[in-house]
Amino acid sequence: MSAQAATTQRTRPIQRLALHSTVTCSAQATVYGKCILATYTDVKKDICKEEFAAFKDCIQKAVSIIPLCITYNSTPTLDEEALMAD
Amino acid sequence: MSLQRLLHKLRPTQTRSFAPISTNSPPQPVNYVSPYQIFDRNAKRLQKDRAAIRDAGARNRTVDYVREEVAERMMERFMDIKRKFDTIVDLGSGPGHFSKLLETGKVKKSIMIDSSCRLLNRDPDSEFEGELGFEVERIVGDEENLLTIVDRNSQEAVLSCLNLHWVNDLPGILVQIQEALQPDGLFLAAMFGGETLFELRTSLQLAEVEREGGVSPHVSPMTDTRDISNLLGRAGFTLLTVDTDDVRVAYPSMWELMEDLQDMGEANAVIGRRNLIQRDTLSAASAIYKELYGESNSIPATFQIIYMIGWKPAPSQPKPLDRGTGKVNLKDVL
Repeated sequence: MSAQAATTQRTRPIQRLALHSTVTCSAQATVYGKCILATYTDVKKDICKEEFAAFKDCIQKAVSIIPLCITYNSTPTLDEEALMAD
Repeated sequence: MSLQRLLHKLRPTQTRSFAPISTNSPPQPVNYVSPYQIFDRNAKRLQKDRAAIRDAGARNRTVDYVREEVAERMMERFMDIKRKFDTIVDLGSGPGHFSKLLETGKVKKSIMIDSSCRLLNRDPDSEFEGELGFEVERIVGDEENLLTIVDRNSQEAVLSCLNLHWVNDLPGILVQIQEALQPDGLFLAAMFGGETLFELRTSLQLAEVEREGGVSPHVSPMTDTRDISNLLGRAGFTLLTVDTDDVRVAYPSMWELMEDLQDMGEANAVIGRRNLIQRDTLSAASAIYKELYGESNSIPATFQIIYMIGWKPAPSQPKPLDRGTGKVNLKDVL
């Protein structure tokens, strides 16, 4: 039981990505989303490049700080392997 | 004369330098699969097996909500049929979401067929309704080859709850089910169709186009409602009933949705899928999903369910009267 609890509490890289892309960097995510929303009938590659660069920059900064304890309760525990399959 | 023939032989034969010589059948590409081959059945079986044993089945049980809801709605349709059955076949049963709801008064025995052994045996017999002699038989077998598992003209009813969306040859399986049924036998099924997960599909497509400049399949192609009635008719069923229903589920974000799909064993199994999504694309898709479809602090996911009922023809069934046999003039009625 304790071993299982330990594995679920360990934060996988994909968990941190999920957390930071939805919570920590939600402002930048909204800016990027709004940019896509404005052009979504005619999306081209890199049409929202700058907005995404800001979003990615925020995520990268957030991911590089490894917290001692994540207090986000509904943190998903995605398997990286399975995400690849998705 | 002979010299002329010799010259003709020496002249190089004319070749076409642009168009290749036409053949009746074009050469098949290396990764050729038949038009009916859309899903990787082996990958699907492995995904289901893995989902069933992850955290000793706890994760899989947590995500039963969609299947349980649909099984209940399908049971309402089943209870509307005023007939008692000795044995039914639950095709692609999983752990038996539908069979668990059966009552002994209505059905005495359920034969559960699924290709994933671990998912099939996830729940013990004690969880099934009515200890008063309700029987469950589990058969591990490929849903696509029903006729290798059961005999022709042998079954009273074939039911299927949320499994047919992973079958490659849908027209073929419907014909097989029709063959397996006794005359006047019942076929009742629920499957994902049409608009299922359209939010996830469009978000991933937009993210991939914007980040990488192209799209690849991440959500399965789904059957349309109109096609289902045509296919049922083509397979030889009569007295058809087809209807659709939406189940909308709210998730905190795209990540939870994808995690749950994976725990359900419903991850992508389209042939030719990319086995990697870049992190940039994922975080972009998450932002797009939220902005395009999101509500105040959740995102919706739509599961569209197609319910279908068909009967194998039998002489005892009610039939429309012949043309011109009407005795009442419609003018008098209207």
